[in-house]
Amino acid sequence: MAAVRRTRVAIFFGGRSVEHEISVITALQLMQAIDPEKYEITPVYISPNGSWFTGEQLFERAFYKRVPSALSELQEVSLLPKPGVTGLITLNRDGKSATGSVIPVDVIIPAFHGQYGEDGCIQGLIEMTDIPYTGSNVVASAVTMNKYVCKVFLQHHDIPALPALLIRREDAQNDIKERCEWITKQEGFTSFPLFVKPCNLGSSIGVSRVTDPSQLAPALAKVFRYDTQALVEPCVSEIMEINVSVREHEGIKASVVEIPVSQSGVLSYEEKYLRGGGKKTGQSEGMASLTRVIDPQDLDTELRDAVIAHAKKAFEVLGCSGVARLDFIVDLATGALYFNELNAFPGSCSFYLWVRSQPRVLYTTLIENMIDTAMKTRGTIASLDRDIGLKALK
Amino acid sequence: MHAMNSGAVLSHNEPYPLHSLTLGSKGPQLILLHGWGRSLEALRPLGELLAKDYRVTLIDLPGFGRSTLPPEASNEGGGWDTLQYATRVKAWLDENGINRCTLIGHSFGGRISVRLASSYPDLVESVVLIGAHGLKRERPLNEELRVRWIRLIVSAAKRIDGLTGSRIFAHYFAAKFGSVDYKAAGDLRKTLVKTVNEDLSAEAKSITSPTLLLWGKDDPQAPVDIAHNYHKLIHDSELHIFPHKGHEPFADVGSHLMANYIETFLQARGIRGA
Repeated sequence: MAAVRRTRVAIFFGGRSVEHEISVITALQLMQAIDPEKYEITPVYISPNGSWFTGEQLFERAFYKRVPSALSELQEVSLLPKPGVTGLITLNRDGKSATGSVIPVDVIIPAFHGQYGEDGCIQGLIEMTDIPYTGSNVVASAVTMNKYVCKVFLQHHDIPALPALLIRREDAQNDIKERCEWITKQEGFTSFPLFVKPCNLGSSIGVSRVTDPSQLAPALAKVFRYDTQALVEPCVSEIMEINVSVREHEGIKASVVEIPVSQSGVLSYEEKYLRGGGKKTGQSEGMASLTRVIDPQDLDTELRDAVIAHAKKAFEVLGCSGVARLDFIVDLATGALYFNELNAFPGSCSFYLWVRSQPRVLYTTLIENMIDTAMKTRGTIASLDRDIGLKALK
Repeated sequence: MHAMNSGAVLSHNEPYPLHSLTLGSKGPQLILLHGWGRSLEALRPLGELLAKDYRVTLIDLPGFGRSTLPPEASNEGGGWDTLQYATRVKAWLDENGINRCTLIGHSFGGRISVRLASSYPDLVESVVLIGAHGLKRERPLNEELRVRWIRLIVSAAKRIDGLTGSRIFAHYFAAKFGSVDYKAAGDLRKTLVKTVNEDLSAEAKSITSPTLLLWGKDDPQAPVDIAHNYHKLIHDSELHIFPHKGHEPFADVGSHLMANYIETFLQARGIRGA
C-alpha cells in the first residue's frame, strides 16, 4: 500500500427519490471501480425516509436486501451546513444529537439520481460546508432536473427541443377537464399521440404515451403521484434516441454516442434500469446493462456531429461539471434532431460510453478525473474575493 | 472492442486442441489463464479492456470451456498436475509462434503461470497473479486441526473401502467434506486432487520476471496470506490488496480497476502498449 495519505472520499447515495434503487447500484459500481490505494471510501447511504447512515456493510450488495431492518446496524451521520467541520458528524441512537466525533471527508461524490440528490438540494447543503464535491453545482443541477426550464433555456441558446406545455398539479386538481381541453387547443398539441411526463424526475417513471383525449386525465394523474409539474410534449411517431455523455476534464469532452433499444416505444423504468440487458445473473447493473448500440458505425456522421456539438454546448452554457448524459431524439420522418433531457449525474456515470471512446477512459480514471475537477473547482471558489463583514453598520 | 480471430486452434500433432480467443491486434502479447471450473469467458471483460493497447489471448485450459480434456488428464488417465498443464500451454504458445508474453493467471490459472514463469524465463516477460493458488495456506489452529482430522478419517475410510469393497468414502465422506470444486470436478477429480496439494514455493522463488500480485482482501479461496507469501518469494514483485473484494476482484466493474493496475504495471516495466 502507498504510504501517502489517501484522499478521504464520501460517496453519498440512495436518497429520497423514486430512483433510490438505481442510485444504490451506481454507488456499488463506484465503490468497485474506485482506486482504494488513492482513496479512502466512506459510503453514506440516505434511506428513503431521509436518514443518513454509514458503515462497512454498505459495501456489500447483499446488505440492501435486509434494509430497512438492518439500518440499525449502521452509524447514523449528518452534515452540518457550515465550513470548518470538514466531515460528517456522527449521531447518537436518537438520530438527533451529535456524539461529538467527526468522520473526516476531503471530497464528496453525490451519487444520486433524481429528487433531492441530482436537483441541487444536496449540492446546496454541501456548498455550505466548503467540502469539494463532484458533478454539477446547484444551478446546473436544478435547471437540468426541471425538464421545462432546461428546454426553454437551451432553446434560447439555439439548441432545438420539442415544444412543451407545463401543467401544474394545482391547476389540474382545480379543473382537470379544463386543463385537458386547454392542452388539446394549443398549437402543435391538437393531434395525438402526446407524451405526458413528470417535469422533475430523471428517469422514465410516470411517463405515458397518450393516444386520445380521454387518456390525458389518467396520464396527468399518474404524473401527479410523483411530481407537482407535468410536461406534455408532442409524440414523434418515428423516433430514434441518441444519447451522449459529456464530461469536464481538461476541457469539455464528449463520448461516443449510443442508441438505446426500446422494446415498447418508450423506455420504462424497468427497461432502462432493471431489465439487466438480457443477462441471467439476477443482478441489475443499472444503466450499464441496458440493451443499446454503442458507437453505431452506420449512423449518419452529420447527425452524430450535431448531437455532440449540441451536447457540448448545452453542458457548457448550463455550467455543468463532472459527467453528464444528454439524450436527444431524432424524428426519422423529417430528420429533425431535438434535445430531450440532460442527466446531471447519469446512471453508471455513463462509464460504458467512455470505455468505448477515443481516448478510452477506464471507470477508475473517470472517477479520479471527477475528483480532481471537484478539488480544482473548490480551489477556484475559495480563491474568490468575499468581502463579508459588518462594515456598513460600523 | 476488437474481437478479432476467435476459435479453436488445431495443430497437426495435437488431437485435443485448445480453444482460444484473441482480442486486439497490436502491442505486446498478453495471455490470460482462467481459474478452476471457469472458462476464458470469466476473464473476457478484463481482456477486452486490456485489448486497447495489447494483443490479448484468452485460453480455455484443457477440460474447461470449449477445450477438450486429453485422456491422460482424466481420472482414468491419472490426472494432470500443473506442470503438465503448463507444458500443454507452452506447446500451444509454440504452435502459435508466441515466444514472448505476459501471463495473467487467475486462481488455478495462476498456478500454471507460476510454473511457466519458473520454467521459461525467456518466454515470460512479466506475470500478473490474481487470487492465485499454489502455496500452502497458513490456517488458524482450529481449521488446521479440523483438516488433519478429516484427512485421518478419509484415509481410514479409503482403507476400509479397499479391504471390504464398500464405498464409504464416495458415498459419505466426499459428499460431506468434499469442496464444491471436488464435488463438481467429474473427470477432472484426480487432476484437482493433484494440483490442489501442490506447493509451488520453489518455483515462485525462481521467478525472475517482474510480477504483479492483485488480491481481494476478502478472498475466501486464496486468502491474502498466500499473496504475502508470493510477495516474499518472488524477488521482483509488487502486491496490491483490494478491500471489499473477493476471489474474483475483476468481476463486474472491478475489471476497470484491475485493468488500471495491470496497465500501470506493464508501462512501468517498459511493456508499453501500442
